[in-house]
Amino acid sequence: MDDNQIIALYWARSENAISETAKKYGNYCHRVALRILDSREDSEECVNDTWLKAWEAIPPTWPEHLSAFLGKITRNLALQRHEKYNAAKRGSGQVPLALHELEGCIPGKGDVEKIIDEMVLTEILNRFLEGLPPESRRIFVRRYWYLHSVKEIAEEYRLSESKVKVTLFRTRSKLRQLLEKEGVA
Amino acid sequence: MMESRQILSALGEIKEKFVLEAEAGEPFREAGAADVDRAAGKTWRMSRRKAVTGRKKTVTGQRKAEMGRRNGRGWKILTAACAAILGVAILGGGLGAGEWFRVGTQSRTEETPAVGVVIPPLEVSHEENSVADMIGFFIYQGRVYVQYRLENGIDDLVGEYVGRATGSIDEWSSEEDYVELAGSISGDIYTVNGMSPEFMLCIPRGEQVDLFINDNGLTLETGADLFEERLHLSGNYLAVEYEGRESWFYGKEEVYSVGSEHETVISRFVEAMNEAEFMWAEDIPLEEGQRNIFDDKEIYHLYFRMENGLTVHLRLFDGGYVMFSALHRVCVQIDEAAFSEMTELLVKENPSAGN
Repeated sequence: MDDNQIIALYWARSENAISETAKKYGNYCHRVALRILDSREDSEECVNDTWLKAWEAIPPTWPEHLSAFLGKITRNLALQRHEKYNAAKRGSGQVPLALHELEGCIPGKGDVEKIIDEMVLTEILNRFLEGLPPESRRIFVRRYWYLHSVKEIAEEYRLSESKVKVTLFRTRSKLRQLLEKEGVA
Repeated sequence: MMESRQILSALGEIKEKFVLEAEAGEPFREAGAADVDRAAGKTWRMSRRKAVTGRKKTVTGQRKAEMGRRNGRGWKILTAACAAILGVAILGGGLGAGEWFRVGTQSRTEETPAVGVVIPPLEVSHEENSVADMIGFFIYQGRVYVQYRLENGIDDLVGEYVGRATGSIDEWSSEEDYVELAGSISGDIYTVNGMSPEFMLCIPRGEQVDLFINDNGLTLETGADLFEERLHLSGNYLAVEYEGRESWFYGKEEVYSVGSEHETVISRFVEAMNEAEFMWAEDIPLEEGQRNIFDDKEIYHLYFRMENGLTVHLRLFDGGYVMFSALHRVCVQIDEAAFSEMTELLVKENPSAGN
């Protein structure tokens, strides 16, 4: 069933919407959640929450890209759940590693401290990603949106792991420069 | 001090196109690249299999992009495949409230005019796998209106209130449910300013307008029957924009303006469309190895931004074929010189927009 047919089921308030969504995107969402939560059981719960959110959001929304829409919900829910678990010392998976790596994007303590609005940050990130070469962009998004490991990215894109690491390092450095230039970090 | 957690969180809201691009999973290198072989060692063979899977996923991604875009935030694009099975027809001629519809497959046409095409009333059977009830449509005055696109701004487009679509049709509906004002979507129906209500109606949705087109039984001999009589193109567009097929297909939204200094070229193009005879898109000859016109012949998308806020979206195919995006089974083949003049202009205006 194509995406628009699935969305039409949501609009028709048909419960088949969820089963068809799960059939088509269950694995995808599960993978997104699993990389963040590192637990099959927690991921399963997170994905179920995603279907519920989708049910609430459609209608009135008609997602332009259903996979990205569902992936984004799953990612956000998983990160929230991870945050909660982390507070309870249960955090694991790719998130701590990614957070550690992203610290390299943040200038040192000598910089002016500023509170940054997330929307502003997203806008900067969109501009930043737009300007990146496609290869670097895809690697960066794989690592920090999908939370894929360096090894997985290397295999998927058929690159050496060192190439992926170097690309990520350079991209983070560029992001740091941009954040400094924008005066938001 | 900003935390890395904020960056990770903000990344969750980046544009979907970046997420889809990364999801595609296409390998960067050609199979057999020596350094990758050395670096990946044994895993290379596994990766190669994954690369094949990745390509399949990419095709899916392309389809999703194609399906999801352009008709206004995901409202139905009726693809050729979909069109072949979609349809709603009035059985037994004129139909008033309480009469019923049958759902089924669409035949090409039984009427063959000397010139042009007659888009048949769609024969719709109530078969189990029919997707008719999945398409956004409603029935008004015995005609079936199918979603065209979602436009921004309601002030100039929305006319008189004509009724309320009940949205009562779903995949379990029976033939008896296909009554006046029934359909797969609900909302208050209005006329569209400047458009015949027999051809186009709309349902306002907040700040946007969902447009619907009825093509059942439409007789189109020359382009003027559609582009002038129904869409009133000449003299009513404020701007013309375009994007390459690649951009449209992947949802890149790299849309460019055609400068107003090129009005002569645009006028000649419109004139050529008006003069050309309508034909069935499936009659466009394919070269060896080509699967269909949408995958193998499409080159540009043209958007005529009209004074009333409507967008007339045209699809251009190699060989001089032009199609109104809402009527994807028919097209015109226009004068070669006018077509080339336009496509050459688009290449000149922005070489990277082409394919």
